[in-house]
Amino acid sequence: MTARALMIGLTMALAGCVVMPAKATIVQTGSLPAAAGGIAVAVLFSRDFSPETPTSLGREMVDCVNHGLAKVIPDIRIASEEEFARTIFGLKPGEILLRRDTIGALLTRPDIAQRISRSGLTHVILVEGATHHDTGDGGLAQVPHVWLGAWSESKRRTEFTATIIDLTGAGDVQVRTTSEGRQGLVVGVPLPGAVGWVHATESASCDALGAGVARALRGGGH
Amino acid sequence: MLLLLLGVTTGGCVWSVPEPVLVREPRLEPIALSVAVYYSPEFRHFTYRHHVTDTAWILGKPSMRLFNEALPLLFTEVVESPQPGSTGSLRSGVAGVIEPTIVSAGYSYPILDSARRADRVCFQLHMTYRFTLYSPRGERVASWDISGEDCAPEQNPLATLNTRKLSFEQVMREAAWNLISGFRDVPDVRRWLDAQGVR
Repeated sequence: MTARALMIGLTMALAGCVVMPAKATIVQTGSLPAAAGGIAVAVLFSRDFSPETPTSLGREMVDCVNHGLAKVIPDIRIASEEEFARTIFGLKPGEILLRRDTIGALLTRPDIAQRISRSGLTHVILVEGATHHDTGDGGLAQVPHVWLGAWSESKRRTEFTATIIDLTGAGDVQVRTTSEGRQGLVVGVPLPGAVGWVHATESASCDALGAGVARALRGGGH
Repeated sequence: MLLLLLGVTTGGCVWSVPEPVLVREPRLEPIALSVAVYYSPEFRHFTYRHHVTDTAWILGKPSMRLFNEALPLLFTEVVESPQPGSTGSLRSGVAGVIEPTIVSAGYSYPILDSARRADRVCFQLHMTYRFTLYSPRGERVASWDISGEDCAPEQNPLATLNTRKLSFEQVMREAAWNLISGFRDVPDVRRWLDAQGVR
């Protein structure tokens, strides 16, 4: 009851949304050799590769990883999805089937490998993620993402993964971040436009993912 | 329920046209044949209307544009035919006529309870195309279905229209890819290709 009262008080005081700080854990599977020269990456989101990831979340994850990489490795070269598609395939994003069963053969095809070599790209990073909800106490119209005319709290657990493909053939690495947090909200009208949709748990996972990928690219351990 | 409510309130007069992108890589070796494609008026003007939200989706026109791009990746030459079989309108050298139709299309709103049981919230969306291959004389050679399905994950309930549009685009893109990548594997098509001397 106290927690509920506190939650209500806080949410009202903050005019809409309360999110509890969330901690993220990072797990790295595999390792890459320490980069000898410059690192050049393309961070991509494709629903071919991760059909369960919402498009908007996937795009936010790309931004997060790009931001994290630029912060940790200042001299890194980051190619956009458009630049990757144009430079390596001479196509537009979406015209390339980046499915798990096609990407390996595509990137190692002789003509494509030659273009990759000429471009100086060293890694391709594919992101995927999901948020799971456990609804706690709450008011009336609850759905996992929005609350109308009532207050609510819920537990959110996010799991983000970046698959790093070393284009020099040194192997693949996965960096996975998970975070869990609680949040509360009280609204009389839909507020998502005002408060945004990047929640604390997602934000924590996203930041951690960027840092984890940067560490893996530098040849960091598990 | 809220997603459904939002869908109802934002539905009605919404006409949405998916803009699917054709998969061009991995690239395929085109079949050295000239074929014709016939788009019926029903196919050209196919519109799906969701019965609850009354939201209309124009699916025929973008499908036609997609197959107009896809078929030239599959055959060395593609021409359009005014009818499925020949009544003298097909020029010589055309090995067959392909007619696509849309058999079914649709989506359902995520129901909260089932979505929670599955630990995810998504729009179940599907499309099924039927392709019929005719001989130049108009005899049916082969007929097969290609379906695409998506469980479009939803994150922002205010963006459900865009989520469904992207999902239709994904399903149409997948269907076009399945058409060109799996064409040779349809048994009746394989026999037809053998008869045309295509290995």
